[in-house]
Amino acid sequence: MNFGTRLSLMRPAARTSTQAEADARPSDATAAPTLEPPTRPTQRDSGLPSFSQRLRAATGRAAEPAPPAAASDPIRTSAPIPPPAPRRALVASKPAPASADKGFVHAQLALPLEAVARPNLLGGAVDSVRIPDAVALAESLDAVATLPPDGLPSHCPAVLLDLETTGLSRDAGCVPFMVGLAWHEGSALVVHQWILSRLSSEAAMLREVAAVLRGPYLSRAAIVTYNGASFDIPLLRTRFVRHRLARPGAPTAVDGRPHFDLLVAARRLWKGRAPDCRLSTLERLQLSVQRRGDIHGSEIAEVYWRWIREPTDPWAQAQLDTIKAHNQVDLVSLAGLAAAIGTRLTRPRGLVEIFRAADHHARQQRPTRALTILRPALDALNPTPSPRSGARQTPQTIQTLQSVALLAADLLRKAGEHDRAASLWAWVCRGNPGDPDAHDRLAKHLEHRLRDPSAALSVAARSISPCPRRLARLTRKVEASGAAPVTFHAALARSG
Amino acid sequence: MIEQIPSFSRAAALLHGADVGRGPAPAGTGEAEVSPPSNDGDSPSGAAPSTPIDGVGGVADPRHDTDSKFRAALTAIDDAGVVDIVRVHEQPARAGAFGDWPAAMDPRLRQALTARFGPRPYAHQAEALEAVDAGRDIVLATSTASGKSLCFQAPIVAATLADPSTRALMMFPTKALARDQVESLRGLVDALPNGPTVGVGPYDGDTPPDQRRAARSRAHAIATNPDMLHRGILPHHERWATFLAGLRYIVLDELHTYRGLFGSHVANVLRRLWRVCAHYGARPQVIACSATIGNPGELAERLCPWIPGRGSLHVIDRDTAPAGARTFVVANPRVVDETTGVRRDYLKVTRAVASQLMNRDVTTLVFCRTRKNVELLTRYLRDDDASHRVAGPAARAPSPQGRGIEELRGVDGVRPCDRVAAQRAAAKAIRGYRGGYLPDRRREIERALREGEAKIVASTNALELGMDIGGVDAVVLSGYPGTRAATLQRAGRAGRRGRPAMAICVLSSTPLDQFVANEPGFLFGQAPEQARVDPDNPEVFLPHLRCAAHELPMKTGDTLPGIAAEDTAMALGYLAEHGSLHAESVAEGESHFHALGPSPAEGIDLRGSVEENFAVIDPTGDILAEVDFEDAPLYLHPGAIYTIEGRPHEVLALDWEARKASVKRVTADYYTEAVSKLRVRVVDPESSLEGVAPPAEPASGTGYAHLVRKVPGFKKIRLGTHENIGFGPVALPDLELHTTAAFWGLPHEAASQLTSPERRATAALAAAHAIQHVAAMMLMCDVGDLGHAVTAGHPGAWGMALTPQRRPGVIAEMDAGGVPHIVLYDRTPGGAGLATAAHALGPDFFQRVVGVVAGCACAGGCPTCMGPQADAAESYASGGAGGSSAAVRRQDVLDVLRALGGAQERAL
Repeated sequence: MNFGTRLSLMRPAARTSTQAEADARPSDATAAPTLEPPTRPTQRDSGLPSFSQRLRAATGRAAEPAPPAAASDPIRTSAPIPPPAPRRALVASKPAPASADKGFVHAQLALPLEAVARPNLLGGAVDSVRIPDAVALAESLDAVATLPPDGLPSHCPAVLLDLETTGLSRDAGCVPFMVGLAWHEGSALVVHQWILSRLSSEAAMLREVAAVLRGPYLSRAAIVTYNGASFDIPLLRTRFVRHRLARPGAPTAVDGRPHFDLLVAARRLWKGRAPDCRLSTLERLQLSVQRRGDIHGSEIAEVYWRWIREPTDPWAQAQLDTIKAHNQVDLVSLAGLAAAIGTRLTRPRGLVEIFRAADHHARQQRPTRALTILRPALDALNPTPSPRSGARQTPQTIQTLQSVALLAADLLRKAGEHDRAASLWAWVCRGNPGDPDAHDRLAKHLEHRLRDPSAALSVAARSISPCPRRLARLTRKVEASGAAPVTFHAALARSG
Repeated sequence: MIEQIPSFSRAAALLHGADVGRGPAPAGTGEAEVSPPSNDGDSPSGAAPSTPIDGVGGVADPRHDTDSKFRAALTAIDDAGVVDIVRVHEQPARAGAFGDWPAAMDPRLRQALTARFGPRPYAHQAEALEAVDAGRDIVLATSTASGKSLCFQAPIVAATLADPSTRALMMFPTKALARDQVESLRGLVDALPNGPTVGVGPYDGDTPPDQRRAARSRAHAIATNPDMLHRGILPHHERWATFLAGLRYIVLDELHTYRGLFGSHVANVLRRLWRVCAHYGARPQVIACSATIGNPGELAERLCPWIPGRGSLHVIDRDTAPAGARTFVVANPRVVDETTGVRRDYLKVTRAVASQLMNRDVTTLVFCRTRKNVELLTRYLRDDDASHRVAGPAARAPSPQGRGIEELRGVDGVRPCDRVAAQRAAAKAIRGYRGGYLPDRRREIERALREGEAKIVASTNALELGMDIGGVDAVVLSGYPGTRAATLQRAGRAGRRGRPAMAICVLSSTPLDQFVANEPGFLFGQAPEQARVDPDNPEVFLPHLRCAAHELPMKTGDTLPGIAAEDTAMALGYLAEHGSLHAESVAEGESHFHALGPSPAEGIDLRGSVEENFAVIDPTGDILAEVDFEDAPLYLHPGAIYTIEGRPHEVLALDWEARKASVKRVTADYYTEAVSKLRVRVVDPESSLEGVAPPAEPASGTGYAHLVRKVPGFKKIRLGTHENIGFGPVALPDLELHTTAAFWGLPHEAASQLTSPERRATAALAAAHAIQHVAAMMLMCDVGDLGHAVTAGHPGAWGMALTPQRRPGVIAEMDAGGVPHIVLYDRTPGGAGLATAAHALGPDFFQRVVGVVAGCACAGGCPTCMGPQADAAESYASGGAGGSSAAVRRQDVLDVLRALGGAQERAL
């Protein structure tokens, strides 16, 4: 039996290609007509054995009519090619479950918020992680995105969620075999894990998970994930629908509450500053987590597959315990990272972080917060820095300062503070001659707000990629008004 | 039935003599060379057929115009003396029969349909719509351009108007067809009077992610292909939950393309679709459309195995669309050398025939057998057209005494600027079309044909399917297409609404084509071939069962349509034992899961292709065309001339790993043809033959086959004359095919009766041909899914595959005492269980083969029963034994087959 194991390099010449074009190739030029017997048999009486017989023959199963006896011929007769030997001898089917076996396990583990007497996970990986308390977590989430009007419940603002699955493609065979949830209970973060020991019990397990999520304690809690927006949450939704725990399109247990995907905020803060933005990388850099004896994500599905078929295999059992610990560390790291992100977004350190945090807030449609964050950086710009003061700064710093100025100017303009915005644009134009954004915006400001086409023209013309239509229009306006030309520096001065 | 139309009576009468002749048409067709009668010119009143044709207005009677062009072209072709017209088959014009729109049809839809298709449907369309309304599954098998699309478009729109939550899935064999139909259905939706819109979109490998999301969530109808359904939709069916829950119609267009091994795969994909639909509570109706084949209803039931259970299939094969008179002409190139019987090259004759049509402004589609012929013909016809164009004005304005002006015109009296203009015009009017062209170029050619810009298109069978190319007046078949069904399908491309149509089949000199020339009843007297599929082939079924378990766990009692639950249970048990599925006991029995890693569908290709195509790249880095992997050594070796729409490019380098060939535009007066050698070896995994004495009697068995195709070099062939002008080496990797095979050794007794090695080889090859065809018939696969070879010596040793083109080596080996072994192998990489199944049929199989060969209606062996080498045998027999060669030949083949059958009997 050959299940699509494609040994070959050559495709049959007469097969249709992907364009389904059965172009006759030279070898087919002599193709003969279909040979048909005088009386056409219908397909059903073509002389083939029954499907059962063929299946038996192909699968090497004993058939009721005895198979053709093996002849003494040294070369094999009549029997089809035997299937390749099975990779591993396996029991055909798991034994029927004991009555108490639900087919899944619910385990929990309490982690004190203080970094003392924590259970040992992956060589003490989380021993030193600062786990935020409920209030701190809520504050951090507030920094990440806008909370609902009535806020988050104070006893338990959020559920941290992380799945381990049998695949990464989110297709029909991608089973969330381990659901990890973590939430605050008093002075501890409690990690709850549901582990599927029989694939047929997935529905029951998900029903229990859904019930917990919808229960009184968690019903209003937000969900926090890492990359959950494109993986964990949609996967859970489809699994809920598959097991008829929800109707297609209807809200499920993970809907109807805020969802914070920390990957988005983490990318805003650390993209380009960290080697990558995977949770395992950021936990190491931001939380000093050191995992020992962890399992790599790409091996998890394989190990689980082994365990579910050979649950008594000691190696597989040990590996499954590692997956459990992996999932627990992921959840604790997630909590720690939420706090770290919250801190960085509210109290950024250094100019770059200030810009990144403000940029995040601006993209979250929170301009006031963004401007508040930017204020110390803006103060560094004022009073108008002379080229000399800039000379002491590194080129990177200057570039960041200009980004800060442009971001702030944008926010100020939207807030109606056009003059302050104009002075920032002018500042960038001085420091970075030709900057297209700054020149463009400033020219618009001069043309439409201050109605000074001469100044606008001289600013617009200095851009490295001036808009030809604007230049033409401004030239016309200047000619029509007969205003005198304005030098670039005079124009900047008029802008403040 | 032959019916004459007055305007053709003369031609038909004078050609009739040639019609009945068996054997090469007598040279006496010289009688046919009658000058056109004087009254033939302009007598529309008397010549016009009296049959009323609906849908054609009375304006200037284009019928007569086309008719007279055909007549003139035919006369000219006949007069040119390059062909014998061996048969003219006339089909009279047919008036359409009309029905009514279903009474309950939404008035908005009726308005849109009327605007697009006319006030009333054809009777067969009305019948189809009624049957769909009655909830029946239907299959339409009517001719090309009989309005089949309406029969699924109208129900889809009607259902969506009635209930916006209904959905339809339309499946086409190619992406291009799917896109074409999306446009067509959108056209109908746009014609709806400001009603609610019906969303239609393609969903295939080229659809960008945002459009995919939109298709899943908002489209009422999607157009996809079997491969996308298999890999893109079913493994992700949860994302399609809403769509599948509302699925009302499954549309299967071009049903006849789903045959053979590919069709067997498609049937299993549809089984999986049906199972997933059931999960979401949907029981969609099937609307299938097929070209004319012998068994459309049976094919639909095999492809959709749930239909027999529903007992609802309604077959509509009565074509009621009006059609103009059709003429089918079979033309045989003349014998140029009476002693050897060599005929004129059919490609050159095709060129002459097409030129005659081209010169009379008859829009023509020329179907070629190979891509190479498409390119050659495109080039030749452009040359002919260009010289015809420059000859026109030159003839009108001769310069009798202007020597000086003549000099300006160059040697052939044509000014260079005129020549360039003529070449440009010819390049626009004459196009090539084949697989490998990029989609944009294909769309452009289709558009040019639709809008009348292109007058002649030389194409492979790529244009056979229902792409919208408008109508053409005539079709030229360069070589017999191989089956009656394909002949009908291609010829059916000719004919615009109600106007006369003509098809000319130029036969090649291969035995099959000559057989068609000599057997008048073969082409028109028999029903088209049947399409066969075998969805129950375990090698096809089992992988799809894994996919099904991946999509939804297989529980006890769960099965796929058309398979008994206990058989499924046995198959599941087998897969679980081999670690392909995971079995768990549950309260109701057992559940089987596939839940690790990507979907098994990723590893299963419906079309048996495994390797990436090669890209043909010009010096600027643009991709010009694509070449299938296994064709690359033949067409893209360094030094090859690769032609795109007649424009030659030389291959500079071939990057095998990167699957890229760099080419540059050249002007070459030659083309290249690669030489290829195929070697076959059967490897028996169970018994090593090393050190074992050869068995007393040649055996039969099954095993793995190893095929190696080597391309040692290439020939340069001059354009026009086709003479060989050079040879070059090729150094490229060999292509290998590992597959499964069956072999039968010829018993010594039978071998000893066939005295010469040549006779043994010929008889064995003929027997192998018959074995392959009967195996395809019994196993319900396509003939092309299998291959045959004859090797000399024992299995395990390398043998040269014995093909009609490559016999001497084998014969030499047989001379040295080798015993012919007939090898039957699967052409799918890895095998598909076909050859092994044929072997397992045992002696019964050989009885069947003997019956077919003995029962063939031919006199003494023909290409149908004995394969294309029947003529090779003839030349051998007439040169050697003499006497009644044909009878001897067939007897040899029957002896071989009976001996093989006897050996099977003894083995039991």
